[in-house]
Amino acid sequence: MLIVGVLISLMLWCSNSSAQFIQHNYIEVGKTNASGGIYLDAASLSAIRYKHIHAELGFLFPLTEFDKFLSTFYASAGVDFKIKNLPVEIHALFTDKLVSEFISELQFGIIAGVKTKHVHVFLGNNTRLFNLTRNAIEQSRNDNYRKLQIVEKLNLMYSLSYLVFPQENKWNIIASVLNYDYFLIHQETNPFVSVRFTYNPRENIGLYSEIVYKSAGFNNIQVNYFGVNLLTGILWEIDF
Amino acid sequence: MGNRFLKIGLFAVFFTGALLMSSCIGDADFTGFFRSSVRVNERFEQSLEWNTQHAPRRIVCENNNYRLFFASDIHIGGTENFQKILNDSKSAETDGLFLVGDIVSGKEEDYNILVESLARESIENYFIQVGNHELYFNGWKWFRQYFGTSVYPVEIVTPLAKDLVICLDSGGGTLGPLQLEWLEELLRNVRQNYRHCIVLHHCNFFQSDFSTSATPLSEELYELMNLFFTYSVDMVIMGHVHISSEENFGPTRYICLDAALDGAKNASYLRLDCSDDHLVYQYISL
Repeated sequence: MLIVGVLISLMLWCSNSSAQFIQHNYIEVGKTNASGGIYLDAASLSAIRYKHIHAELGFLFPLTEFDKFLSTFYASAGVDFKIKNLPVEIHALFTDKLVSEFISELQFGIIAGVKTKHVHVFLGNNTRLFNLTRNAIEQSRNDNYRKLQIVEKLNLMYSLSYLVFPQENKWNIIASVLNYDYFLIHQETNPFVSVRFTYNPRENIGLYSEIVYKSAGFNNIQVNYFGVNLLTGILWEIDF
Repeated sequence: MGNRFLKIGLFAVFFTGALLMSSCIGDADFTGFFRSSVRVNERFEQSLEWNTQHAPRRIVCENNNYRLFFASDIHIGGTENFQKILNDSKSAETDGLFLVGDIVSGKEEDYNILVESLARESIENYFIQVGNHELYFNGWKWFRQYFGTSVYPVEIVTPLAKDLVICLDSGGGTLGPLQLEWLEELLRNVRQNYRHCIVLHHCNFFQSDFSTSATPLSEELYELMNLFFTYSVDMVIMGHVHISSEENFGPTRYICLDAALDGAKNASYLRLDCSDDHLVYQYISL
């Protein structure tokens, strides 16, 4: 709640100045080995950028009844600057996911990266905490629970993207290898690949479609198909 | 110039990373980076078919206390530690020896050594599980020929109670949708009939330290943790990462075994005793 409060305050403060507001909505349809069928999610992210500071809040809404992805909250805040004409971005992020009726997951991370004309690279680290929900604890009050939390302290986050055309081009193709998106951070040993097609019909509106392929057992296990998802979204930039 | 430097740097980082991540280089089948010789759904279906043609696996104990051994990541070729485990198993009169994956490299000659060792020591109550190495070099062919199935429940029957051990095939880094559905059905339908329930899953769930060993993807991890909580699984025993660790979460104790590989630092196996309704375990150094 503290993080939400700080971010909303930052957004309100920025909105009184010459800031840029970005609304990002997308829908995602996919199927994985663990989803129990096709799932459909909708996401809404609101970002504000003022000079070199930016903050973002987002929610993931499950639209199918599979009880796998109930809801996720995302928040981030960061700064961008230049080192010898190289644009650098650093942001801290937080996600809160209700995994099921009984388990929730919190993730804290910090990630930094550079964006050149054709290559975007981000590296960071996150900590994951699995918690038993209040519902789980209350329902099972009589049982002898030994621990309510699991902590994974260190997990590498990475994203390597190649842009076929420079970022300012009206349309583009972006190929990426990464282990996280807004609402899901995988362990470092589970990279996935994505190809995103972007088109900007107007200067302040961006449309995109993306296909994401996930495999299990990368590295020292035989690679097996895990899942595919398709995203399509819109970004709308509003200058105050 | 800056861009070129960046590109070279990135290439170096990822190339070095890929090399470092090949943690079992000597016994690795590098084709596994790109493809799987037999996919998990196919192995699962073949395993279930085998299960239907054979009697359910059962350990029948004469009294209410029993003892089980669990060992992982032996990586035969070398058999020094494996022989110690077999000797201990005989002398301790264990009721079951569970081999939690990566027992061989996947090569036919290593499967032969494993089978010969078990036969020579007349070990019959053993239960082997697929790890990633069992599948290298088209190793499923040999696993299937010698052991038949990689997914099966084992019932432990004592005069007063019944316990359940579930062996899963996680050698490909995912259970796949069919096996996951089977596991959920099994737990939903029969868990209440058993006092204790232990699940064996070769791949480690959590990263207690920096590791390059592949783990289940988050979506599958969520599903499994939820199942194990919902159906009060007592223990999940894993291997793969070669370093022991333990996590407790709700009713479930997640135990990752040390490697029992010859020459491995901290090589050990796990001895589990069920006595007076309690599961008590300790690591036995090799």
